[in-house]
Parts: sequence; structure tokens; C-alpha cells
Amino acid sequence: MLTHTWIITQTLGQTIAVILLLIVVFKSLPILMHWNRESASFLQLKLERRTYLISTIIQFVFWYQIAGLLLFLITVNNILPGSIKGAMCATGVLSVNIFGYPLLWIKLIAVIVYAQFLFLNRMDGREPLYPLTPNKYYWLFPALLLVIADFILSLLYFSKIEPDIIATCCSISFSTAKDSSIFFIAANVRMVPMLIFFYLSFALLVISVIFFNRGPELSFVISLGFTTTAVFLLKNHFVKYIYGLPSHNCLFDIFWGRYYYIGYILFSALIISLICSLLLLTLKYIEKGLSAPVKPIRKILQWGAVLGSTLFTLLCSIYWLNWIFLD
Amino acid sequence: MNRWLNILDYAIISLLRRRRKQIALVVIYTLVVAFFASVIFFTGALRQEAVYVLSDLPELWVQRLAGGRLVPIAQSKIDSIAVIRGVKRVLPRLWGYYYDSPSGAVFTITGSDSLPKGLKLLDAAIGGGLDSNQVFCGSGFPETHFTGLGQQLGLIDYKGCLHSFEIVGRFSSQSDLLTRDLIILSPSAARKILGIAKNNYTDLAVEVWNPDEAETVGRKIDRLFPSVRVVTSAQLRSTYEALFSHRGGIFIYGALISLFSFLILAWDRASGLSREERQELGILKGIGWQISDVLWMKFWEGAVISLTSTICGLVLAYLHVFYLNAPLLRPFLIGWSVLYPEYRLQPAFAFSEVLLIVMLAVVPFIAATIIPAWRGAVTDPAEVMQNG
Amino acid sequence: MAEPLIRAQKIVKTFNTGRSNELTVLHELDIEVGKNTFVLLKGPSGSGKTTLLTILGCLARPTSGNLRCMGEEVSHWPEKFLTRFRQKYIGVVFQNFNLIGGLTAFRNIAAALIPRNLSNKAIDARVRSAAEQVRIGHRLDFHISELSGGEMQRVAVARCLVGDPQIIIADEPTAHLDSRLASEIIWLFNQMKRNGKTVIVATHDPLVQEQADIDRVLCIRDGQLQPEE
Repeated sequence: MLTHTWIITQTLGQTIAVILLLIVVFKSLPILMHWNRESASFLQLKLERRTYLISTIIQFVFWYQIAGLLLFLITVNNILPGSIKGAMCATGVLSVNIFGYPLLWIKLIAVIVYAQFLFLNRMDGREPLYPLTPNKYYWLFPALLLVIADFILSLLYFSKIEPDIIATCCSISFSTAKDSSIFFIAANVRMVPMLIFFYLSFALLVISVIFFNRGPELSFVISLGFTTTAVFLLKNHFVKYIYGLPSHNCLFDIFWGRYYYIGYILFSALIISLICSLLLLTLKYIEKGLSAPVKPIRKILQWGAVLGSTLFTLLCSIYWLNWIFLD
Repeated sequence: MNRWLNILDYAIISLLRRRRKQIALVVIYTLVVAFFASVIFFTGALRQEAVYVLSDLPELWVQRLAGGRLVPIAQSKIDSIAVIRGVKRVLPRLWGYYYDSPSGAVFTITGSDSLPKGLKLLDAAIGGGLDSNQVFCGSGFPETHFTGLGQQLGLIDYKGCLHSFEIVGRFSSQSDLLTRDLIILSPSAARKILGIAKNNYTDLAVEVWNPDEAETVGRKIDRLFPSVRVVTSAQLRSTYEALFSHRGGIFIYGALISLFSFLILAWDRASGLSREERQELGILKGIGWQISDVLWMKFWEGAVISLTSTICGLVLAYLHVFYLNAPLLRPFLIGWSVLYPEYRLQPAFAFSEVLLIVMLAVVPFIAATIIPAWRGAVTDPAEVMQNG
Repeated sequence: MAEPLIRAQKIVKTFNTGRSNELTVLHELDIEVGKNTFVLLKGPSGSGKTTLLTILGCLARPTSGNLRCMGEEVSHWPEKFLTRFRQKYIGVVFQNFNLIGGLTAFRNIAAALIPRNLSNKAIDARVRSAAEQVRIGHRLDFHISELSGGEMQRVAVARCLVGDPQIIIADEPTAHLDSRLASEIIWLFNQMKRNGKTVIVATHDPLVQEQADIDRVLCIRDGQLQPEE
């Protein structure tokens, strides 16, 4: 499958990302070793200039990898199901071999790591004294590892896709359709505790983000819980109402045009909320070294965390309530 | 926001000012993009043709093998297969290839009383079925032999005797790929030309009631008759897809080499800042430009150059492939050029192809210019005074 | 005013630090410049005039020593912050005009405003007003190559003024100009001082000392300040 146009695009893209990150890590080693803010030496001047190169490349790679993630989602959701027998959606495409899901995870984690670095970089750039240099450059190592893992997994995943092997799709995800329509409308009984937990964690997240400035650890833990529950419930509960099918539990069909690409919005909202609560936590740890005011930054992050989770919860609930009240 | 627009504005003016130097780069860039966009459009169009062709196929296809060769299949098999549960209809088929020495082309001969489904008669001299001395043909034969409706068409049978037929109809279909070289004879005439004995057929097409059962029915046939080979249309589709993908993919990798050699050129050009450019960057730094401003300016320059070249390249490739029929790529796809001397591709290209081309053309170029741009951007602002 | 506009203490500038070709150009200089003064920096070529100007103009950092400018301690700021500071307070006129060839006079002047977040309209207005100040408004749409030496120098001065700086730094502004044009430029610098700006000019042109409205003369030799003559 390595000769498929969509796949060539991504393989090439990953190759460029690996090359750029290797350059970046290589160039950042002298900064980690020789950085001395007090010095006015030639070397220090050179290193200061180099920081611009590194942040430029990382910014480029960041946007480019976000585009890459989108391309990947489009490929597995909309393109490959046509070429792989038996795969009707991304569930089948991703599980066609063992590398599919780890690849998706790696890509998501990489976005979080880039966001973390760019945030540190942004905060550092506001200060005349480089309070976060050179320590922020340690984040480049996980970024490099992730990008290499992404590259290798992509190669393995795409090269091991055999179009004539029949994939098992979400037939497993089709729960047995014996649930009566009453249950369908009123939510599956097994889901009730999860649903309670979901709305509770949402409320707690909003409260803790807005009112407990001092405890971003708490918000972050709640955010993790909220995100996990959200994905679980989306797959096992909310999708049914998005599709309007009682037995269809496929997580990935929501990325289709038939459902107005709602999946892209839901997952973006979720990941933005998670990243913002992570950055709130980061902000707490670096705050001491910063001289420029951090209040406006914190406000933006709080808004991001709250609005992201609210958008997700609201959209899912609207789909659900729509079914309850229409019938 | 204003700052970005101002910088973009400056970048464009600055490019126009040095347009003579940029033209060579843009021309080469355009040609490289046009080359690999042609490859992608060409293979994409071929693949699209194959999809059209395959869409009318029956679900199953039964052939007889002897010693690994295809051999005619006997009438008796039809009845045995027709009784298998799930089979809707068994259609015996008569077809084969015919090498036409005057034109050097290979035509496909099919035996049928009437026009197969999916084909559309352009003009016809008769209303009903074919007589044994009449033929329908695709547009290929009349064009290569400069004949037309009502004229005679001579075919030499497998023993070497010449038979003459009257052309009574010309047909076309959505795809030229497999119908252009097609000649339809009456079954008895086709048997004569192809040398297939009475009650024998080339192969059998099997229609099933439920397409999902095709696989199972196929397996059943396979078990019942050890000497046959069963091909499902799904298999065929995957094979075609893989084949076209593969062929196209190899071409794309080939085209990538040209892209990379171009990148080396771009790198070389961008990293070797001329004295004037260096001085200009020095002045800009001296009058208050930030490193990031210069980086943005260089980014815009790169984006303008690469987008211009990519769009020009896309247009050139489109014209090359769909209006001129890819004269520069044909020789590489030898099979096609011999079979279809005048074969016209349908203008069809997908969003993914354009996306691929843009990704391949723009992203590496910009990536390759980051480091040279940074080198220019970190020019010491004091330098402009020291050099004064 | 309690604090002078610029206060430099023990400024040392060494090039190629830590290398075999290390070269110290400035040796522990102390300078104070008050608001609205015209300072003339004299000295033979190679004495460190230009280097001192780059430091006073925040184009480069001193190797050691402290520099306070407009009440800010800028001596250890990284380039990004120095540049931002320069955009706000400092205008520079270079030797040899240092205009960008192939662009019009207008675009040359506007280039200094590009890094600021200004609309097209605002840029247009500012460029025209700066050009009027140096009486070059009628030549704005001409290319640099079509301008005379005096006009080019006036464009360079307009580019320095367009950001409305408090401090104006000029390095040999009258070099390569005949005495009539030189006087014209000196008149412009006098105008600036009259408008409340601080002007620091490095030159060894005697004409400047004769005609300019000078408050202080600093002599520099071998990287050290000499007592005033």
C-alpha cells in the first residue's frame, strides 16, 4: 500500500518531520550544554540566535503535524475504507494490523508535546532574561522520539496493509440489537453510572478551572478523567444518537460528511480542553521565574479548558436530548 | 495582523524587484511540478478508467485451466453450475485477442448476438441481432483502417483463412479503455476466428442473487470442479487497484527524485545570499526589523514562489494529460501506447491528488528554505553600521 | 530631570570573545547624555566611534558594563527586546545612506514602519509627514536610483524620523556630500534638536562642528574618551 497517493504524501511528510527534528535536536545540544545567560561571549550570542531557528522549525513542524493528523484521520476515515475489503470505517482500517491504533495514539500525544514546547517557548520569549532556557529544550527529546516512532509506525502500518485481506470492521461494535426501543431512548442502564460521572466531572472541571487557580493539579486530574469518560461514552452511548441507530456503536463514522464531520469538532474540542488544563498546570510550575504578567495567559487557558469541554458536553447532550424529546 | 500583511506586501514587492533572478527558479519549479503532477493525473485517470470498466463485471468468473493455461470450457459445466444454490444466471462468454498485423495493434474479439450491456451504439445500420457476416466495433478499428459504417472488415482466422464482415454498428461507452479496441462478432463467427469448438466457451460469467454470497458460491464451484479457477470481481478490483496504485506509485517515486534534485538547487540558491541581499537584510535589521519579521518575509517569499509555481505546474500538467494526452509520459507506459495509439483520457482528477501535489511541492520547498532564511535573519543589526 | 537620557558606565566591547583574534575596541567608557542635547563624537577612523554608536543606539550589546537608556537597564537584553526598544525610541542614519536599491523613496521610508502593527493608511500618513519634514515629499514615488545624492540622504533621514524617535544616531552623515548638501543635512539635524530630540552624530567633518548647534563634543581615541579640547 505504500504506493497509494495519500500514503505517499504522509510518508514523505513524516520523513521531512524526522529530518527537521533531528536538525533541531542536534542544534539544541550546544544550548543545553553551554548556555550562560550572564555571558556576552560570541558563543552565547550564537546560541541566542540559534533559539530562533529552533522555535521556527518547531512551529513549522507543529502546524504541519496538525495538518498531518487531519490527513491521517481523513485517510483512515474516508479514503482507505474504499480500498480495504470488509472495512467500512476507520475501526476496520485501524485494526487491519497491530500498528494502526498505536499510530493514532502517538500522533495525538505528539500534538500535546509540541503544544507544551510551544507554550514554554512563548512564555520564554516574553521575557528579556530567558528564564526557561535551556530547560525547555529537554522537551525536544520526547518530541523527537515521538516523531521517529510515528515515522516507523506509519511505515509499518501502511506497508502491512494488504488490500486483499478481509478486515473485520465494527461488526463487533454492533451490540446485539435486542435492546428495546425504550432502553434505547432512556439510555442503556449500564451507562447510567458513567453518564452521572461524565456530567459530574464536567461540572467539577469547570468549577475547578475557574475557581481554584492555585490547584491546577486537581483540574488536570479531573480533565483526564473527563476526557477518558467522554471518549468512552461517545463510543458507547452518544454515537447512537448521532447516528440515530440503536445498535451502531462505531466511534469513527462521526468523521463522515453524512454526519456533518461532527467528529472533527468533538475531538478538537476535547483535545483543546485537555491541552489547556495541562498548560495551566505547566504555568503553575514556571510562574515563579516569570516577570511579565501571566494573568491574561491564564485567562486564555481557562477559557480554552472550559469552552472546549462545554462545547463537547453540549453537542453530545443536544444529540441525546433531541432523541428523547422528539420521540 | 497588519504586521503580517505589511511584511507580505514587502515580500511581494521585493520579489518583483528581483524578478529576473526568480524567473529561472519559478520556471524550473513549475516544470518539476508539472512533471510529477502529470504522472499523478495520468495514473489517476487510468485508475478511474479501470473503475468504470470493472463496475459492469459479474460477481464471479469461471475459467478452466489445464497445465496452468486457460482452455475453453465445455457447455456441460454451465448446467452444473446453474443448479448451485444462490446462482442466478450463468452467462457463457466467447472472447479472445486478435493481432492485426497491418496496424500492429491488438484487438479484442467478443462473440455475442447483441450489444453487451453498458455499451451504447453511436450509429447502426441494423435494428436487431448480428448475422454471421456482420460486426459491431469500437472506435479503434475504423480509425486505424480508415473505414466506417457499411464497409467491409477482414479478419484472418486461426487457420489463416480470411473472412470478410460488414461493419453494421459503432459503439462507445463511458470508458474508452476496454471498448475502443473491441470487435463484436456473432457467436458462430467468433468461434471461427478464435478457433473455439462448438459447445465450448472461453469462460463463464456467473451472476448470484446476493452479492454478499459471491465468495461462498465461488468456493463451492471451486470445490466441485477441480480444474477451474474462480475469480471474484472483488478480487479483480483489488488486483486492478493494487496494480494501478503500484504502477503509479513507482512513477511518483521516480518523479520525487526530480523534486529532490530541484530542492538541492533551491537550497543552494537560498543559502548563498548575494551581497545585495545580505546588505538589504542588514539594513532592515538596522532600521528595526526583528528576526521573526525577516523570517516571516522569507517565509512569504517562499510561499509566493512555491504557490505560483505549483499552480502553474498543475495547469500545465492538466493541459498535458487531458488535452494533449500525455505525449511525454506515453512512451514510459509501453503497453498502453501500443494498444491504444489514439486513446483519450477522461479529465478526472481527485481532490487527494491535488492535495498530494501541493503537499509534495510546497512543504519540502518551505522546509528547505527555513535554515537559509534563518541565516539571513540573524544578520547582526550592528553590521550595517560597521560595514558603512 | 533626575536621570540623564542615556547613562553608560564602564562600557567594554570586545569582538570575537574567546577566540584567537579577540579584539577589544572600547575600554570602560563612561558617558552621560541628557535630554535634548546635540552630541558630537569625534575621533580618527578605527578609534571605536562607530562601535560606540552601535551600543548607544542599542544595535549591539556591550561585552560588559551597564547601559541605562530612557530609564531602562538595557545592557543585557537579548536582540528581540533591544530591537523593540529601538523601534520605539531610536532612529539611525547610516553612513553611505544605506537605502534599499530598486525600491521607491516611499517604500524605503515605509520599510522602517513595517514591523509595527500599523494600517496602510497610518503608514502612508507617517511617511508623508516625515518626508515633508525633510522636504522630499515631491520625490516619494521615484526610485532610489533616480535621486541625487542629497535627496538620497534626505530619504535616509526621513526613514530615521518616520518612527518619531527620541534619540537620533548618525554615523558620518555628511560623508560623500559636497559642502552645500552637507550644510543642508546639518540644518536638518539642528531642526531635530529644536524639536526636542537628542542627536548623537559621529563624524570627523569639520563642517559639522562649525555649523551644527552642538552642546557637547566627545573625543574618542583608541577606545577611550579624551578630555574635551
